[in-house]
Parts: sequence; structure tokens; C-alpha cells
Amino acid sequence: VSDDPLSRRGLLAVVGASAAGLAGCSGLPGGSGDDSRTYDAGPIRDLVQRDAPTRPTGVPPSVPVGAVERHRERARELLEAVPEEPAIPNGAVAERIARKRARVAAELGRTEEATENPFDRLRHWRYERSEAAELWGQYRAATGEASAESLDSRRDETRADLHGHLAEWEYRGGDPVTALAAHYQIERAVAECRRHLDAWPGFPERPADDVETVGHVAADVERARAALDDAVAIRDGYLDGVAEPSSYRAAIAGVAGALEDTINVTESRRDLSKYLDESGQELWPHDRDIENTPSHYLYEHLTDLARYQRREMRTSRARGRYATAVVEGGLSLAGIVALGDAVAAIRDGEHGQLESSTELRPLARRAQNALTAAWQTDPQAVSLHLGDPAFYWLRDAKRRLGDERRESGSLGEHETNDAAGNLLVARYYARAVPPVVRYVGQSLTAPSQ
Amino acid sequence: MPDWSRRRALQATASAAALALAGCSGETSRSGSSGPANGELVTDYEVQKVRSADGAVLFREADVETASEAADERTAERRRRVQQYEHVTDRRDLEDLAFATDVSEAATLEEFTTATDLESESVFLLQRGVSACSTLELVGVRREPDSVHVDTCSDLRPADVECEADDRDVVAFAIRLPFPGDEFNGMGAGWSSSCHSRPRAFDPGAYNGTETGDESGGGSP
Repeated sequence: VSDDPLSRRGLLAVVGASAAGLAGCSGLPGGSGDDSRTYDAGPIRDLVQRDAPTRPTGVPPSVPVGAVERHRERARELLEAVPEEPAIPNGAVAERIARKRARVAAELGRTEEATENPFDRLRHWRYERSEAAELWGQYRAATGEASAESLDSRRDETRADLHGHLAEWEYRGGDPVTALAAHYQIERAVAECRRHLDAWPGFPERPADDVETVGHVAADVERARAALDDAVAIRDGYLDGVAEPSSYRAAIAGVAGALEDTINVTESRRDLSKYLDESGQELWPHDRDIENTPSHYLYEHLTDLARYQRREMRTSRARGRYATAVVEGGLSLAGIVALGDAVAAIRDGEHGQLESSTELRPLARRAQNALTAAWQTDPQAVSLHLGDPAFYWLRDAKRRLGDERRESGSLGEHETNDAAGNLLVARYYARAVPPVVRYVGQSLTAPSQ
Repeated sequence: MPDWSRRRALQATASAAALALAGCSGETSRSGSSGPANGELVTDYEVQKVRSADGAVLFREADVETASEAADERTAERRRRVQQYEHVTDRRDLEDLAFATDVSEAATLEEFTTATDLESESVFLLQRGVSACSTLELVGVRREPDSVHVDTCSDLRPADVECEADDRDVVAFAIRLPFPGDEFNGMGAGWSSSCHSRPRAFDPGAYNGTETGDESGGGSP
């Protein structure tokens, strides 16, 4: 990306407090508190209104046709079984159920953000469906109609279907890259199904005594069913378009193992292990004081991401969720590469406290450009997933700036530096994504090399 | 409104903050489950629980004879205060209390309290106002070297109990503790807005059977 000056470290070094009179800065540090400086919101007015990068569409796998609508329909069905003003002797229980019903009804009528990851949106609707089931379960318990047997039998049926699904699961697909992306979504749905299949908490002896627990049980049973149905639908939808599917279990499991090795060696060779200590402390082990600067947030977000995804990858691999391990490994590796670049820049004196809110605009532009480039990197079935953290950081930064500006017309020091840190981390991370995407793609197609 | 038995008319030197004994006292409240509590868990107590559906105050500190208007206002405020707790360790403590005389639940509490042998035992009295649709449950009693603490929690009552959420009931506990408490100088009462998902510390004593045949009393073999 031509306008990204990351390679020219030092050029943007902070020049000191005398520069505070630059356009856009309406105050000087007053020394009366942590948040003494304010920034003019004017220069970023159109920045927060500008659209975030659009997530590429049409990259397989697709969300199964009608899956979201099925969840919504089922949620509506459950909602409609509960009256708006339930006739329940206990007035507090009646009020609680009525409030929950109103919330579920409002969610069913909500307009959705078009920029969401479509599989995240699908998962959101599984959750809303389970919320409706919780409401239904509470109402049935309160009116003496809840039965442990019907919920147990539904849970048993889902468990049997899950075992059937797992028995024939071979990571099949038309090519290893698309198979990875499809089976990653299937694994996530299966893991969600498993989590909600636990028969805990137990069904109360007398449902009217504990309507909340009956609601939890009903929600779990519904969520497990919804997640398994989605897993099967994703698999069937994907394989329907593949003429002669092959098994890619060995390829995907092999890349998961190779990624773990690569991460370990990269950390070690780039001397990054000290930043990724598992104790979870975000200690900055160098002399430069980065407290209350964008550098602090940049460093903290990247260490968090790299460490968390590395830990998740190891767990997923140990549990045989190989596609998930590959995606998590890719996220971690991109985070580690970005961390190496960020640490070098911070040590060179870059990314100190902003002198003017006008500096936010180029930060946002560069982050958006880096994310667009990341998402355009082939294979997109991989880059779409690996680019996601940058998308969310960028979106959060804009929301933060928008909220702050609406409230006060100016920007506080803490929020401004935090938002600048989010924009920086989105850029550093997104810049690290393309090589990792290519590495994962090439490893999948030639896993033995 | 209930009448009150005047056990004792204290002189005007009594503090308005009547619940605070020498040392520390205080009430904590939490929403949701709490972390592990401190102190030694007391399990061998007896408890009398009452619930008054008309919201009547069941016990309070006895009135103090005063000449000042401000003190009268404090007395009136104290009379209205539902939330009360008291550790009764001797006859004086008992005489400093007033129980409502025309409320059967108050009589039950008073009878239980006065029947306690204060030479070897003590009584923790706790009273709270709750929604008519909620419970108040005793979670546990903890004893520290110089104080005693009682934890309670609330939940919704069964869905088939007829009640209005805005109505207020009064629930009180008289807890007979197996120690006198003369040396105590503090007390506390905690309340949680939910009794659900409250993990408890494992108490091996609750599961100690005699079937192991090991009666050596511990120590190295």
C-alpha cells in the first residue's frame, strides 16, 4: 500500500509538547488529572460517518439458504406461544417474563447491520432462538406445563444425531482451501452444539419453584439443536456443489501441526517470546514510557490477540478441531508478525500521544487500505477469516470516536489515544495478514513441503 | 400499626447509630454469586424464620427517652426502619430490643429469643423487607475471632404463589448460635440478590462418615 509509511520508522517521531498548537488541538495538558487534554472533534466529523470497508461477498462457503430465516421463524413460533401479559399468580415472575418477551420481540424486529460476518449473523440468530426458547420454558414452568421428559428426549435425539454427524465427518470437499473454510464453520457449530448438550443445570423437581432453571434447560436444548442443524446444513450446502468430494482431513490436520511449529519458531527467532508470556501480563519491557499513548493500546491489543489465539489453537488441535486450529493459528501468526513490527516501531519512538485530532484521519485511511488489501489476498476463503480482527478494531475505533463526539463535541485524551491505538493495531495486523494467508494457502495445497 | 413492648427506657446518652456496636458492623449486598466467604462456618445453630405479609416491623431497638426534637425524629425514623440486625449476647441486649406486641410473627421471634440460654448461647436477629414475590433465605453464618456475620439471599418465590411484585413483606430470622459472644465487638449481615449458582466451599465434615473405621484422630501413621 503506497501511502503507508510504516517502513519509514522514525520519520513520524513525536516532536514534543511545543507542537500542541497544531490545528485541531484545543487544549494543552493541564496536569490536573489523567484525562486533561481534549481534542477538537471537527476534523474527524466525516471520518466516523464514512463506511467501514465492505467485507467481500460470494466467497465460499455460504451460509445455508434459509438458515437464518429458519431460526427467526422458530423464535417467532416460541415467542407467540407466550402471551404479552402472561396470567401467572406470582406478579414478579409475570413481569419478568413479560419483559423478556418484549426484548425477544424487539430483537426479532431489529434491522441488522449488513457488514456483519454472515456466519456470525447466523450464530447470532441461534442465540436469539435460544432466548425465545428460554422465554417459552419459563412460561411453561410458570403455568405448570413444562416437562423434563420432553426436553430430555429432544436433547437425546440431538445427541444421537450429533454422533451420526461426527461418525461420517471426513473433512470432505472439492479443494483443501474451501474445505478448510467450510469445515471451520462446521466445527464451530458442532462445538456450540456440544457445549449446550450438557444436562446441567438439572431440571427442577417442581418447575414452578424455579422457572429460571427450566428456561435455561429449554434454551440449551434449543441451542444445541439449532447449532447441529446449521452444521449439517453448512456441510450439505457445501458438498452439494462439489462433484467428487475428497477427504482433506490429513491435509488440514497437517497444516495445523505445521502452524504450531511455525508459531513457536517465529516467536523464538524474532525474539518475541518475552512479550507473549502466558501469565497474561502486558508488561512493556523497554525504557520508553508508553502509558496513555496509542502505543500502549497497540502493544496491548496485539499481545492479547497473539497469545489468546495461540492458546486457542493448541486447545483446538488437542481436541481434534483441525480446521479451527488452522484458522486460530493463522490469526496468532499474523498477530505475532504484527507484534514484531509494532514493537520495533514503538522502540523507535513512533506512535506517541497525538498532537492533533487531524492525525486520526490518516491513521483510519491507512488501516482501511491495509484491511482492503488483506481481504483481497488469495485465497480469500482464508483471508476473510484472518482479516476479521482488523475489521472489528477499525469499527470499534469509529464507534468510539462517534460516541464521544456526540456526547461532548470534543474528544477526551483517553478515548482519542485508545481510538488511535485501535486504528494502529488494525493497520499493523492487517498488513501482516497477506503473507500469512499465502503461507496457509500454499501449505494446504502442498502440505508435505 | 403494631404496638411496642418497652423493655427499657435508656437515657439520652445512647447513640443514634444504634445498630453499631463497639468495633465494626455493617451490611453488604451483592448481586449474583459471591466469592468464598471468610471466617469459620457455623453449622450447629437453630433457626426460627418468620414472614409477615403486612410488612410490619417485627423488632427494633427500644425507644430512648429524650427531650430534643431531633432525637424524636431519629426515634421515629428508627421505628419505621425495616432492615435491622442485632447480636443478642446478654440480658442487656435483650432489654434494648422492642418486639411488636400485636403481631404473631414478632411474638414467635421474641419467644425463641428469650428462651435462649445467654450464658452459653447467643441469638442473631435479622430482619429485611422483601418483595411479596421474593424469598429471603439464610445462606450461612460465619464466625470470626471477634465478630459474627450472617449471609442471606433472595430469589423469586414459586410462580404459583399469588403475589404482587410491588407489595412488601418482612422476613426475619432468629438464629440461636452455640456460643455466648460476650467477647465479640462486631457483626455483619450480607445479602445477595440471587440464590442461584452460588458455589459453596467444600466442607469435608459434611461428608465424614464412620464407615472408614479410621478413628485415630489424624496424624502420621
